[in-house]
Amino acid sequence: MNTALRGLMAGLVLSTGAIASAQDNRGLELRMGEGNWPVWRGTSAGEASLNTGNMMYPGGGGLEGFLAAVITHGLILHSSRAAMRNEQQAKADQVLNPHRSAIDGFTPERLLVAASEKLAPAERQSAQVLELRPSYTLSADERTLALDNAIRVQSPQGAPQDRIVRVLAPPLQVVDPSAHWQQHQGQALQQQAATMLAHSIQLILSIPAAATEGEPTRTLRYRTGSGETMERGKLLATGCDRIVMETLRGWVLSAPRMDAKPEACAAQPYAFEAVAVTAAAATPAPRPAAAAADPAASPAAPAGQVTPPH
Amino acid sequence: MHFHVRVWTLLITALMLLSGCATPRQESISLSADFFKTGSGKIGIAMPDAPKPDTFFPGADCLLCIAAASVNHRSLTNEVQTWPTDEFQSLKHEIQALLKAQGQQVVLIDEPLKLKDLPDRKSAAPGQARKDFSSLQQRNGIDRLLVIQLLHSGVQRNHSAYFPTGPAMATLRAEAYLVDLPTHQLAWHETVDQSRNADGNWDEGPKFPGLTNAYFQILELSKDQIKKPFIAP
Repeated sequence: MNTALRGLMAGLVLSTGAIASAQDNRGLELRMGEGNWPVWRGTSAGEASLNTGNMMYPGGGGLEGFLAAVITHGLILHSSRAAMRNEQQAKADQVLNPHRSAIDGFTPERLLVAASEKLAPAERQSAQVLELRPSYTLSADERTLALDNAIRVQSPQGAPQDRIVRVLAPPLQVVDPSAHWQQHQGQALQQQAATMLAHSIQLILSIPAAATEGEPTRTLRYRTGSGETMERGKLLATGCDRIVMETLRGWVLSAPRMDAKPEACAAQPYAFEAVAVTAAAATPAPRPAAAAADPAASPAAPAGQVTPPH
Repeated sequence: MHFHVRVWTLLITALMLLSGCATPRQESISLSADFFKTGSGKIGIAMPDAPKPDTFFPGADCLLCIAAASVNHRSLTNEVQTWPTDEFQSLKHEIQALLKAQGQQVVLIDEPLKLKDLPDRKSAAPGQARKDFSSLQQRNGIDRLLVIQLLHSGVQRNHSAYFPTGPAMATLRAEAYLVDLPTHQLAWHETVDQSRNADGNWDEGPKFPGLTNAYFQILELSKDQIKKPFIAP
């Protein structure tokens, strides 16, 4: 176990979860946000075409009767759509049934430690506190895993920032995706989840908010399980098998490239390098003063820490 | 004043859509596999001006219903009307490049095609152009004409009288066809009818990023659909 990991584990055990660590240069602090446990769900079928038929309003009853009919009509439409959405989601979540033990056994603490181990030493030196709310979605064919991570970023200087990162894993190119995820008691699924969480953290640490302010948007294509899709946004970074963009909602989206050869990028499917950087984006993430000058000069400071959920 | 104009515009649009139903819809015609081997002469590419994106409320079919839908979606309408169509209009340049890659001689007709100014071909049989493009043939020295037309685009939200029955969704309708000018026979005809929901919540005024994204997605998909027959195998 290297020094950085020992520091990280110490952080996991010792941390009280206080935000104050952002001010005392103890390195990157990760913790789960409200709710503690990551959310896991299946991909729901389109919620859109939830149409109901036309309604004839009663002619009698005067204005009061007419208004009552109009209000009732509105309530019926609203409740029928909500019921259909819940039913669709419950059905979609059945895709997780074969993976329940892997998901339930992957506690927030284990997920955070596994993700932290995948960060570079310099990233663990960041003085930021990240409060994470990860939500994983598995596609119906089990080939594509997506992570939506709502992250509250607390830097030593400035107010907290809320950012959302969406990470799409490379689509699985195997005959039986379900069997693949269940390998070694579900470790394949757990490791993929941890890698995606680590990638979302790396994106937040390396790409500041509003990095592409003023630049025009364009439609960017990326690979999904069944083919390709597209998103309007601004290009932030690219890698061998990665395209990273800022969406119109201001989210960071990291997805497999359309023009990549996945087998050529298998070693580092999440590697990326920033493009179109502004002066702000070129500034490295804030680091502890001593560590920034010489990372080896402060051996007593933990290299990073994980705050267990509370 | 603006409100009245909006209501009348919606009514006129509805009437135009209804009257459009009286004209038999042109079925799709596939481009023959040997079109680029057997065809000769120059291909002109022309596009009419694209109508500005707008909002549509099918099912809000009484005067008060239209007025209510219009008022309820005023902020959305204001945003939708700022959406650009120039990326669709750039199709003529993209198809020009594709045709040239197939060894075709292409004439790009820069000025917007004014279909209303062209005479109708009242005796046009199914599978033939309904407009007389002879004047373009003479003026541009072309033998075939590719017409690409954005018919409408924007956002549609279905209603049941006063109430929306679903989320607002981006919508786009376009038509593209290739006319053999000496005979006015259609060598290819494609109708594009795309609609898509916002990913997640759609009601995120004032900028409506989910719907804006869906609009650009279907715009790109529509372009893909139109370009497909011209991509070299």
